[in-house]
Amino acid sequence: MSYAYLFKYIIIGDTGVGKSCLLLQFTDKRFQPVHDLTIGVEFGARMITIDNKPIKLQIWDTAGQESFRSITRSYYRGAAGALLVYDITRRETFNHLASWLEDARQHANANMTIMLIGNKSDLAHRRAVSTEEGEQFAKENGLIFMEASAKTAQNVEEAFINTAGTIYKKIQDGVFDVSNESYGIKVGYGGIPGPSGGKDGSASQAGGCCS
Amino acid sequence: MEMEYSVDVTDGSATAPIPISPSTTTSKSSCRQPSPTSVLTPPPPQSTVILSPCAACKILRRRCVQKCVLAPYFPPTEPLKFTIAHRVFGASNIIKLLQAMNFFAGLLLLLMPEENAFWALLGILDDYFEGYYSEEMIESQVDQLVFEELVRERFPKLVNHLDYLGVQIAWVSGPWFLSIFMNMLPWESVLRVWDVLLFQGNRVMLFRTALALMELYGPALVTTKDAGDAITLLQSLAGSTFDSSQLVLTACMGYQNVNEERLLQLRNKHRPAVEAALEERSKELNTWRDSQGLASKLYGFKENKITNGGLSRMSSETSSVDELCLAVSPDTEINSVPDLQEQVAKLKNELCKVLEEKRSAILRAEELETALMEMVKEDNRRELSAKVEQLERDVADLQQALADKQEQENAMLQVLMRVEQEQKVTEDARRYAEQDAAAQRYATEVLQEKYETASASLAEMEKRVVMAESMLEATLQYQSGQTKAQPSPRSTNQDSSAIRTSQELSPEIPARKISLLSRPFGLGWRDKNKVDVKVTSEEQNPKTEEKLQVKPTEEQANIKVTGDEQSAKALQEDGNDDQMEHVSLTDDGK
Repeated sequence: MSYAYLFKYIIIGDTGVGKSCLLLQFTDKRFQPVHDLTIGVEFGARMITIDNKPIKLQIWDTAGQESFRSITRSYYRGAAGALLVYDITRRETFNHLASWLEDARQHANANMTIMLIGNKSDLAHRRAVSTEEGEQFAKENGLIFMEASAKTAQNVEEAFINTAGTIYKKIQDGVFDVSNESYGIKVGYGGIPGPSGGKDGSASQAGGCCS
Repeated sequence: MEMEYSVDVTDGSATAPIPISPSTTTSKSSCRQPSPTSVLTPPPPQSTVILSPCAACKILRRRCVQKCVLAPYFPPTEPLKFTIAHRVFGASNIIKLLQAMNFFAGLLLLLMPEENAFWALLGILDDYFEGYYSEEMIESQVDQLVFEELVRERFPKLVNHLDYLGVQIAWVSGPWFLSIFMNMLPWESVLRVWDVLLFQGNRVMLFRTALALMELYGPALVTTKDAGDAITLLQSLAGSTFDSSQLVLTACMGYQNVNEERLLQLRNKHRPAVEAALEERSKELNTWRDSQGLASKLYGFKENKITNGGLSRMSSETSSVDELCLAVSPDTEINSVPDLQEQVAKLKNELCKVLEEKRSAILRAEELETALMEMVKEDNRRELSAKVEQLERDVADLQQALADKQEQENAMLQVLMRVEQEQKVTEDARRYAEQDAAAQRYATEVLQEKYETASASLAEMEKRVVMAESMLEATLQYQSGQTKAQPSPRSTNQDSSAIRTSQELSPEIPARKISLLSRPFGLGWRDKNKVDVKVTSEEQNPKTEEKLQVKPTEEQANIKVTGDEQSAKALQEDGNDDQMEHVSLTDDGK
């Protein structure tokens, strides 16, 4: 599949906040009320179009459990975007956001776009974290904020696509050096022959010589 | 709302008076005794007490720390859920189940009845995977490092490529090991791997199988160009390992030298690193948290002392600030005075223990207090809710009564309206009746007038009769005067008799007149005053003998009244009439 860019995403947050369900909703457009615990990492990929350019999102869905944290941290490397998810019905998942954010800032590159997502917005009657608090936290930490529901698919597309849009804008603004893959952005083969085209080619050659 | 307050924490840089250099942490962790029990119960320094503990911790009467693994699954609001799970599995097994062991618990349940499955599960966990599914999952992480080393040794090219892509083998092999290939390989392959695993009695087969998979799919992996693709490819290839014989054969025959002893060595080699990472992680957590409370300072003090006491090979940078250490341990001379050092350590330990006890007692007291507060609050709530219910019921009753009253009022109104209508009807009827009465009165007046005229005419007639009689008498006298020429006694006699009869009649007439006046009309008058006009016909109905007597005379009177003109003609016959009248009267008298 040809794409102009490939963005690496990572979904993080406490266990049980609905990370895998968000991914499933975005890639498969379905909702699974009972989901197995994620062990290690799972992948999802989907093509989207921004500014008439096909962009492939490669999404790493991580295990949220504390005991997997040491493994999880190794996933941050080379992620262009991160969805930091909490559960609006469980206060503690919101309280742990700062710790997740610190992990992300520490292990990912500084220009990573982070979107804060308050999941399970369909369970508004059991809400434990107000929208304003979420907005406030996002504002303080320079995140994009959105409340979503993996169950009703509300704002799920928007969350992923808005993040991609922000990353794309950063590329246009020259924040990222797309030739450096540690930013989590890869220029595709069918995409624009940008200044990074040569380097991308060399990268694939390097991969070839490895075999 | 759960309000959290961190009661303790850290020895990190956040507590200003007790600075600690990085080297402290590493050396400390390297000397810590690895023990499974310490893994299960998280060391207290990391704990932050949450005001409302999760249902699980409440029931288990343990401290619910911020990163409690049970909290997300057993919120404080649903204590029953945990009670059930606890009864079936036991607390430590629940923790294990939550750490990915659910896959093969499911497998066992497919193959045997519940109780057997439970014991088999327990046996496998304790004998094969000790420390694998604990809260920290240390053994699991150690195994990953061991496996990585084995892969590195066996497939240097592949590892090079994966390194280049930025893929860690543990990302893929971690889930393999944790689920024992459940859901990762086709069913038949899983069962065959399990066969070998159970037969061998240790988890060497895990490594062999994973290595075999790497051997089978390594060549395909090196063609991938990014991390995501590599992992996805490996996952999908593993999922299509349908040739279970080839897999088991490769695993068992190709990796004979990967055996338990070798693994034990490697595990021992890697375990400290994992523990160090863990320690660092918990420390990070602590430093991240706000740690200004008195308890945290106390705890930091204690931690520090443990560090100093436990580590004799400490580097010289670890000069801690607390006066005890300064007094007793001039860092470089530690080795030369081991006894003193030991004593100090012991003392410090004791002090720490006491401090910890005090701290936990305070914590416990706080917990109990909050619990009590909660209970009191709940009680109040219950009472209030009962009152509210009572009031609501009262309101409902009152509303019911109000509705009833309104209904009654409506009914009354209807009745009232009906009564009014009836009244109106009766009023109408009365008016009609009055009109009728007036009409009747008018009719009676008319009749009275008629009667009067009639009686007047009767009187006139009578006068005429008298005149006629007198005229007749005169005529008779004239005739008798003429017949005097031829006088006859008889004729005179006859005449005289005739006069007599006329004289007899004349007094009779007024009498009859009186009777006429008095009887029928008198009665009729009275009747008319009472009843309708039609009663005139019924006037005769009260048939008394007197009336019967009167009737003919009345008729005659009527005839006389009406036939005024005829009466003149009938004058001649009057005499006969009177006679007849007389007869009829006498007849009636009989």
